[in-house]
Amino acid sequence: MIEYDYTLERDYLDEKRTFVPADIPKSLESLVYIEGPNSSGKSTLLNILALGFHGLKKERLNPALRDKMSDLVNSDHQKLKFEFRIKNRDGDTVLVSSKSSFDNREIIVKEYVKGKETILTPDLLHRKYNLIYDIPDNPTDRLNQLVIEIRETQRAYYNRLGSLRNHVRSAINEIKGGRDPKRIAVLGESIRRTKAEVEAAVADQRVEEESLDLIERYTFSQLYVSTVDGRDSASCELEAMEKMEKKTKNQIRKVSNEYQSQYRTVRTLVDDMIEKKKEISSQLARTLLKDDKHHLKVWDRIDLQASYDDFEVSELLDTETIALQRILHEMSKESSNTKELAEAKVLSDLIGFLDHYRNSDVVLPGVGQTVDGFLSILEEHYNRFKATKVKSDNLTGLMNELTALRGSIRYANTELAKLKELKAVNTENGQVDLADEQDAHKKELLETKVKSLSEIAQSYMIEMRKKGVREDAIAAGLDELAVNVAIKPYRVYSNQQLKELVNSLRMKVIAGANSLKDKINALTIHTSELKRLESLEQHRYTERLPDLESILKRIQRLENQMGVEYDNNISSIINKKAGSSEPEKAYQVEVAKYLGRKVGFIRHIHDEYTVSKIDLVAGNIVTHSGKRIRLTDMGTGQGQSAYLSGLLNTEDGRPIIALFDEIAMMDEKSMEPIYKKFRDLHKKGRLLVGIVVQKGESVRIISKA
Amino acid sequence: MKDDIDRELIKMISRDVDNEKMFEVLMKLVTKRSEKDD
Repeated sequence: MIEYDYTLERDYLDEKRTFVPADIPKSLESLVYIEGPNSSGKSTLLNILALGFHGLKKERLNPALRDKMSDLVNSDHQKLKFEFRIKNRDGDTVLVSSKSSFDNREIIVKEYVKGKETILTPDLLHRKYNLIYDIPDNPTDRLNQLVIEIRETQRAYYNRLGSLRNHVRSAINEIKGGRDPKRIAVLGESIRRTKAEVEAAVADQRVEEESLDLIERYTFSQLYVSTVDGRDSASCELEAMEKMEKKTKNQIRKVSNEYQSQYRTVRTLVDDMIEKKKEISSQLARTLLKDDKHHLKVWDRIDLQASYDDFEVSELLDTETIALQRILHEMSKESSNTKELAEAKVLSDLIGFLDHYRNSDVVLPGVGQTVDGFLSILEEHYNRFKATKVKSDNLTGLMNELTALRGSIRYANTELAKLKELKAVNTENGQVDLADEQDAHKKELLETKVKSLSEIAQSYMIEMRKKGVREDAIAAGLDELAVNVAIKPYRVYSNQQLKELVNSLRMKVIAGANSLKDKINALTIHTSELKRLESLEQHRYTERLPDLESILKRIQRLENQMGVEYDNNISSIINKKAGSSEPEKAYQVEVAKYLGRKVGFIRHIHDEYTVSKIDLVAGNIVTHSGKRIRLTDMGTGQGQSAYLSGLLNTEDGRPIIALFDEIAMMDEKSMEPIYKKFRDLHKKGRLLVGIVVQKGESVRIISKA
Repeated sequence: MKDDIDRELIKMISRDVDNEKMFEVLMKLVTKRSEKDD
C-alpha cells in the first residue's frame, strides 16, 4: 500500500502555481499500472518516490531521470515538500519518507519493522533496499547497461575484497604484535643467558679492576721513588756546582782558548757518561739476580767526577762493565733458549701485523674468526709470555748500553789525556783551570730538572694518595709490592713499560665496563620487553597464523582476479571483442548465461521463450529450445521487456522498489512477463513497490496485484 | 570459480556480509578443509 502527499510550488515569473495530487489518488496499491495524459502528475509521483528513497545518492541511475529528480529539489524556480508511506505485503514493515518544508533540503527516511524505528541513511537504505527507477528506452543499449552493471559489481567486489584483506592483515598484525608464547620462551632463554653472562662479566671485571689497582700502586710507587731519586741526585749535583762556584769566585779566569775548548769537550763526554751510568744503574737494580746484586753497589760507588782530577776514567768502571756484560750474557742465554720466547716473538709479530686490519670484517679461513676476534685470542696468549719477552728485550738493551759505555770510556780517556797535557802547559804559564759559562748553562738545566721532577713526583704522590697511601709510606709499600707474586712478572719492566702497562690495563678495564654496561642495558630492555609481551592478551587465532596467512593469499589472489583479469574480460564484452584465451572465452560464456538468467523470458513475434544465453559480443539470444534470435531482429517493445525482466532478476535478496516510466513501446503482451514477475516477487516479499507508468488519453489506475 | 571457499567468499561479498563475519566463516571453512585433508 502506498500513501502519499506533496506540494510543489512553481514560479513561472508571471505567476506562481501550486501542484498537489489531484487526478491520481493519494492512496495506491503496491503493484499498480498508471496511465494518464501529460501533466497528470504520474511522472512527478515517480520522481518524488525515487527522490524520497534517496535516489539521487544511487550510483547507477538513468541520467535523464536523475536530472528530473535533481530539478525538483535543486532549482530556483520550484519548491517541494512531501511525505509518503509504504507498507509491505505482510504489513509488518513500513517505510516513511519526508521532506517536511520547502526550505529544508533534508530528506528523512524511517523504517518501522514491527514498530521498531530505524533512520535509514542513504547508504543504509541502498544496502537494505534495491531501488530500480528506469525508462526502458533503446533496449539493446540497455542490455549493454546490464553488462556495465556487472563491471561495476566486479569493481565493488574488488573494493570489498580489499577491505577484507585489510581486516585479515590487521588480525595477522595483532597476532604478531600480541602475546606469543614462542617469542616469550625465546626471549626468556635469551634473558637467562644474558644474566649468566652479566654475572661472569661482573666477576671478571672485579678481577681486572683489582689487578689494575695493584699494578697502579706498584707503578706509581716505582715512578714516585725513581723520580724522587732523580730529583735528589740533581739537587746534589746542583749543590756541588754552587760550592765550586763559591770556591773559584775570586780566582783569575785566565786560561788558554785551546785548554778551554778541550775542557768543554771532556765535560760533555763525562756528563753524558754520568747520565748513562745512572740509567744503567736503575736498569741493573731491576735486572740483577740476588747473587749478583753486590756488583750494583760497586757500580754506584764509582765516581766519574774524579775523572777531572785523575785525567782518566776510573779503571774500575771498565772492569765492572765487562763483568756485568758477562753476567747479562749468561742470563740472556738462559732465557733465549726457552720455547716461550720463540712463541712470544711469533705472537708479537703476528699481533703487530694483524693490528693494521683490526677493523676489517674479513673472517679468517681455517680459524672461523674475524681479525678482531683472532687478535683477542692472540693477545690473550701473548700476555702469558709478555713478561719473558720484555725481560729478554731489556737484557739485550742493557748489554748494548754497556757496550756503548765501554766505547765512551775509551774515547773519554783519550780526550782526558789531551786535557792533561794542556793543563801542564797552562800551569807552567801560571794559569788555573776554571768553570766557564757552560757551567752556568748546566746549572740552569739542573735547576729546571729539579723543579720538573718535583712536580712529576707530586703527581705520582697524588695518585697514591687517591689509593689511600701517604707519601711517607710509599717507599715501604713499594718493597712490599715488589715481593707480591702478581707483581713479580713486572719487576723487569722499565718505568716507561710500566706506564704503558697501566694504560693498556686501564683501557681494558674501560672496555670491560662498557661491554658490561651494554649487556646490562640489553638485559633491561629484554626484561622490559618480556614484561610487555607477558602482559599482552593472546589473540584467539595465534595458533592459526598459517591458516590466516593462507586466507590472506586467497583474498589477494581473488582481488587480482576481480580487479585485473575479470575487469579486462568485461571490458572486452562491452567493446564487443571476442575472447582470445580459453579463460576469457569461458568467462564470456558465463556472462551470457548470467544475462539469460537475468532476463528469463522473452516474447518474439507471437511466442514466448525461456532464455538460455544472451551473447552481446555475437549479438544474439539463445533460447532453451535451441532457437537463436538476433538482437537486431527483436521488436523494440520485446527488447524493453527483456531489459526490465533483467533488472528485476536480482540475486542479492534485497527487497525491490521498482518504478518504470514511459513504457510506451511495450504492448500488453510484452508487459505481461513483467507483471508476472512483479507478482512472484511480491508474493515472496522481495518486491515492496511495483509501479508502471504509461502515457494515455485519460487517467486510469489498474491494480496488478 | 571452482574452489568452494572462493565461491562462498564471493557469495558473502555479494550479500554485503561484514568483514568480521566473513573472517569467521573463512576460518571455519579452512578448518573444515584441513580436517578433510587430514
